[in-house]
Amino acid sequence: MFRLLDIEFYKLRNSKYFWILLILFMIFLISVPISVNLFFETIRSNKMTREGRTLVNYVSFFYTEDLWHNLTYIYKLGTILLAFITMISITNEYNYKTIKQNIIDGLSKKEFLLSKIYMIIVLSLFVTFLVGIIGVVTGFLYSQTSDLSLIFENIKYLGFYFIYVLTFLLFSFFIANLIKKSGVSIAIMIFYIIMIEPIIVAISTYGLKIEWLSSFYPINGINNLISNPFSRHFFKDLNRFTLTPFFVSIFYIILYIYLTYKILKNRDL
Amino acid sequence: MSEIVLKTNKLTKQYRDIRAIDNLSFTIRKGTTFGLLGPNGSGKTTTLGILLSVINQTSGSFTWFEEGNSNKQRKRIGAILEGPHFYENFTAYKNLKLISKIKGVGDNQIERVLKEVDLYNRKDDKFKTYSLGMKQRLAIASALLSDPEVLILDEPTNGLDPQGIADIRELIIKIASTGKTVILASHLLDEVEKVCNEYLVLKEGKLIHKGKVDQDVTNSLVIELASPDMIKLETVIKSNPYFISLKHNKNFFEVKFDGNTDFTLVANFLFENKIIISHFLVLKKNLETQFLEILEQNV
Ligand SMILES: Nc1ncnc2c1ncn2[C@@H]1O[C@H](COP(=O)(O)OP(=O)(O)OP(=O)(O)O)[C@@H](O)[C@H]1O
Ligand SMILES: [Mg+2]
Repeated sequence: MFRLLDIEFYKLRNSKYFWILLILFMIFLISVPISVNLFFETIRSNKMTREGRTLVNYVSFFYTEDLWHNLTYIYKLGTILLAFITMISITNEYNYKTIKQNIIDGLSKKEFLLSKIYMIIVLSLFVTFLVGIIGVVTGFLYSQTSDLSLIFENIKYLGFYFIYVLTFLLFSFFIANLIKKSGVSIAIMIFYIIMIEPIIVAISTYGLKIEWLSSFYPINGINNLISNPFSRHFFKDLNRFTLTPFFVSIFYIILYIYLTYKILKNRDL
Repeated sequence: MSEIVLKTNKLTKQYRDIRAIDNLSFTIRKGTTFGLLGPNGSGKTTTLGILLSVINQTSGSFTWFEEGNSNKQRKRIGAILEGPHFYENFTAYKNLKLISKIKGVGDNQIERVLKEVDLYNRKDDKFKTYSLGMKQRLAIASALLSDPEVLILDEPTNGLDPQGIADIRELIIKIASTGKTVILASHLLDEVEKVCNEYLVLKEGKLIHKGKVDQDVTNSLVIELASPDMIKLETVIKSNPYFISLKHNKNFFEVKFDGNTDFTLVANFLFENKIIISHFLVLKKNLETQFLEILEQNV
């Protein structure tokens, strides 16, 4: 396992796109709490009316109980940058036929795939770790709490974030393996996320009236891992917590790995 | 007797509507320099691709080293298939370092192989800045990296200049002389002839001929000779130090010499012995004629 990770990270750390995307992702991570804080500070200092002030406090982003939920919800957006890393890392191998040479040189197809999957797992763990640090630091700095143990309340969202990133990256990896070309597979993935699946969800929910089905689609299903924390303030009753998204994610993780393996196994390189 | 390096059994690859290779069975023994010969599209690359597990065969099987055909065996093989494939933005050194990791060998071989193909002073340049010939040489370097027991080369001299071609052939011959097994695919007869000692000929995916490159044929010189005084010619020519044999034909002799001489030396020798020559024809009896005959027989 460490040999395969060593091989994959040797490829990554010598690649420019990896550093660029990773650094962009980190900038995104850090800029979120800073800019959100700035936003609320501005509102406060602008001598808002009493109602405005209470509203701000009410939805306070940094309110300790909600902190992890709020943070990870916004950080979901950044996952696309990590998906680009995952996708380019495999489409480059097809493009330059280095995947073929790797096999010739002595990796089995299974090992090759595992080296990428290990990389995806480590990357997901790493960014979860970063988000964890940011969460703790933000909690200390902004939440105006004296009880530090409150910061670790609802830290389960960090776990969900990990599952979300992992599943999403494996999804993008699967698409990239299927299509083999980086531009096209990125375009298809984005098109699927913002067009195809929402349409299918709309049809099955409003057209066919099968509402429960929407929790099982690849993107919608994992999105539910970290539901929209801001709407909760308006629809309190909708905020029921279930483990369904977790099991849906596990199902997709297994499915993507299995399908990618099948594709690679049967493909002539 | 000697160990078997590779055995294939009825290998077949069917693409949608073409049978790229058809029931291919052959055996390669240790130490052989084996040529895979055939015109464009005859299935050479497909065969090697299957043997290296990057192409799935439709049916049939093969075994490396009488063991199997997993990546464990592949690590004992150094191979290039259809041109060089490297990470474009890595330097030559980093590319070879990565391959060392894959093969599970230390990086102390990198310097040696780079020197072997004369790229050592360019080792820190990115692969994409290399010329085609340099890329090809780097590919050969990478194949040599783990000091493999078997070397597989698919058109290794593609894109090289005459000097590069000569260098690579010399390198292959040198490697073969250390007892390694070499499998060389080429449509250049001349190349197989110069380098290989066994070969097979493919045509439209079918094995149409298996043979040994006859050292006697290739390393010899055959000249048709005639003189007004055939008797004197015969005695004199038999005294030539490179003389091997003589065949009486109707109007001339077909004389075979050791390949270490050449026709100008023979002509000079006859001249010095004051033989008047009425017919002097160098016969090009080599693999090429054999090959063309074989192909023709199989139309
Ligand atoms: N991916 C593929 N799909 C369909 N047909 C293919 C594919 N790859 C090869 N072929 C066909 O298989 C046959 C054998 O091709 P192959 O590349 O093995 O020939 P070759 O002997 O290596 O030729 P060359 O000397 O030109 O390199 C050809 O007819 C080719 O068109
Ligand atoms: Mg070929």
